[in-house]
Amino acid sequence: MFTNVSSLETRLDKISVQRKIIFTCSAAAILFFIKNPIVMFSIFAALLIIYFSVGGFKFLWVGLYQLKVTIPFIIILAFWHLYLDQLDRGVTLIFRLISAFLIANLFILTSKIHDIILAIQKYSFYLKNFGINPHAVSITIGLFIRSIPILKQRAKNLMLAQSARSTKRSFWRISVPLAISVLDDADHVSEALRARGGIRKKED
Amino acid sequence: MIEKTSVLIALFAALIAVLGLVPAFPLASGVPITAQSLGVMLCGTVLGSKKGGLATLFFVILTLLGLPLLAGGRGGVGLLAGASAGFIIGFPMAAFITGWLMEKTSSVDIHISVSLSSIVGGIVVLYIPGLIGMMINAGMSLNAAIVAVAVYLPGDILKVILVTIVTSAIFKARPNSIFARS
Amino acid sequence: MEISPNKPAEIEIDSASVFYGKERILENLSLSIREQRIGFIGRNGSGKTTLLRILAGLQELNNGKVLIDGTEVAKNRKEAITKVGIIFQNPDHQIIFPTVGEELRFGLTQLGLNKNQADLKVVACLKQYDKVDWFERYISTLSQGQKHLVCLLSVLLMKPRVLLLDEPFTGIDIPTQRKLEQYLSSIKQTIIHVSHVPETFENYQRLIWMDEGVVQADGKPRTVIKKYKDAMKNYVEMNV
Repeated sequence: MFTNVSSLETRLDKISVQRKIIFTCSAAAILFFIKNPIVMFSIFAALLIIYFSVGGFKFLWVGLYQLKVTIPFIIILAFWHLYLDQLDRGVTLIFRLISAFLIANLFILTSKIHDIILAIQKYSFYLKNFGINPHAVSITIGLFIRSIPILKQRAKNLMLAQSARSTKRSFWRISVPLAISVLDDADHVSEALRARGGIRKKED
Repeated sequence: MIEKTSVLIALFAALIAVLGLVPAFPLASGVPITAQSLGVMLCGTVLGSKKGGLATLFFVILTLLGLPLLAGGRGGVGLLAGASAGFIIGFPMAAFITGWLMEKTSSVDIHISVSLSSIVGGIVVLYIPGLIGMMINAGMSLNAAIVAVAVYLPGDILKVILVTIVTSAIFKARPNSIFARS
Repeated sequence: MEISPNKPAEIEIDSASVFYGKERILENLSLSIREQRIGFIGRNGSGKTTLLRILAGLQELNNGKVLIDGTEVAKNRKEAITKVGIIFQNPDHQIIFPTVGEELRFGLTQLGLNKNQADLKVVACLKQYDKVDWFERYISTLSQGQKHLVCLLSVLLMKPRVLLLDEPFTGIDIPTQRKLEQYLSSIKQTIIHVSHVPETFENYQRLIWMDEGVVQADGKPRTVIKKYKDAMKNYVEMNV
C-alpha cells in the first residue's frame, strides 16, 4: 500500500505533494464546468499525451489500467445516453469521468503515500484556526494507518476460528466480536498514549 | 479525554476501510454492494454524532486524497466524477445524523433506537446526496437515478438489520461503549 | 543505554486507595521502594495490575498519593513521563504508529525534542541493537518478539528512572524471551516487574506478593516465593 502504485519513476516524482494536490483539485474542479464533448475529449487526449511525456509508454499503460474500475459505469453511461439519443451529453460525461480519474491518478501514481501523509500532518498545523488540535490529527493519522493491517489480521483470525467451529463461513457473523475488539483496543491504546504523555494541548 | 476520541476516530475509520475489503457484490451499475456503509452506520450508532461524523469525515478525506480505501481499492478525486460520488460525500452526514438520532432516542429500547437511526441516517439521509451525485455524473433524471439507486436498497436494509444486531450486542457486552447513549 | 545516576529512584506509595464502585481494589496501600529490581507476584485480580497503573500515573487514586523522585505521577503528567515508563502485555495494545521509526521517535518528541534531534537518537539506539534497517520498516511485518522489542525501545528511549513491566513476556517463545531478558538485565534503571511466574524473580532484590489488593509478603524473592507457592498449593487443594 505504501509505495507508488506504479513503481515506475516519473518526472513528476520530485514535485511536492502540496503542489500536486492543488493542481489535481483545481483541474478536476474545472472539468465539471465543461459541457462541450469535443473540448472534453481534447482534454482526455491531452492527458494521454501528458502521461506519455511524464513516464513513457509503460506509465501510460499503468495509467490506463487504473481506469479499469470505471468500466462498469462507463457502460451504463453509454447505454443510457444511446437510449436517450443524447450522445453529446454521454460523450461529455464519459470523458469527464475518465479525465477525472486520469488527473487524480497522475497525482497518486507519482506520489509516495508516505509523503502524502507527511504533507497532511504538516498542513494540519493550519487547522489550529478552526479549533482543531494538529497534534491530535497527526496521531490520529498514524493510528489509522497502523490499525488497518491489525484489523485485517484480526478479521482473518476470527473467520479462521469460526471455520473451526462451523461449516458456515460468513463475514457477518464475526462483525460483533470484531466491533467489540475495536472498542477494547480503544481503551488500551488510549492508555498507552497517555502513558507516553498523551496529546499536546493546542496551546502548547 | 482527547486521547480516547482520537483513538476511537482512528480505529473506526480503519474499521470502515477494512470493511471495504470484504468481498463485494459487484453490480452492473458500477457501485458494488459493499460492507462499507455498514461501518458508516456503526460510527453513528456506537460513537454518536460528533465522533462518528468525524471518523467518517476523516475516512472520506483520506480516500479523496488518494489512499485506496474505498471498496475495490479505489481512491482519489476521480471518485467524485463516478457513480458513488454522492454516497461518498454523504457518508459523514449519514454518520452524523445516525448518531444524532441515537442520542435523541436514548431512552427508547435500543433495537428501535438503532433501527430508526440507521434507516433515517444510513438510508434516507445518505441516498439524497447519492441520488444527486448519480444525476449529475450519469446525466440521469431523478426518476432514472432512483431506479439506478434502488438496487442497493435491499442490501442496505440488510445492513440496518446487521447494525441493529451488532450495536445491541455491544450494548449488552459493553454498555459504556455505546457513546451515543451515554 | 546511558548509565543512570548511581542513586536508585525513590518510589513512595502513600496510603493509596483505588475503588471501583463498591469494589476496593487497593486500600490504604503504603510502600517505600528504593531497590533496583523489584517484582510483584500474585494471582489474577490480586490488584497488581492496578498497582502498576497507579505507579505509571495512569490511574486516579481515590485516596493517597504516589510519588516517584518527588513527582506525583498522576497529577504532574509532564514530569511523570520523564520519571516512569510502562510496558504492557500486548504490543498491539500499545503501538501507535505504523513504522518503527515513528514509534520510537514519538516518546522523544513528546519530551520536547524536534523531529531531527529525535531521529538522531532513534538511529543511534537502533544501531546499538544492530537493527538500523528497522527505521523504515512497517511494524505489521515484525514478529511478536520483535514487536515486544519495539515497545521496550520506545519506552527506554525516553530514559525513565523507573521501568514498569506488566507481564511483558506472555505469548512469546522461550528464545525470544531470553533475548528480551538479556536486554532488560543490562538496564541500569529501576525495574518493577509484575508476573505470576515465580522463576522470573530469581535475581531480583525484592519481591512483593499481593492478594486481594493487600501485601501478603514482602522481602527476598526466595522467601516470598516459598510463601506464595505454599499458598497457591493450599488454594488449589481447597478448591478441588
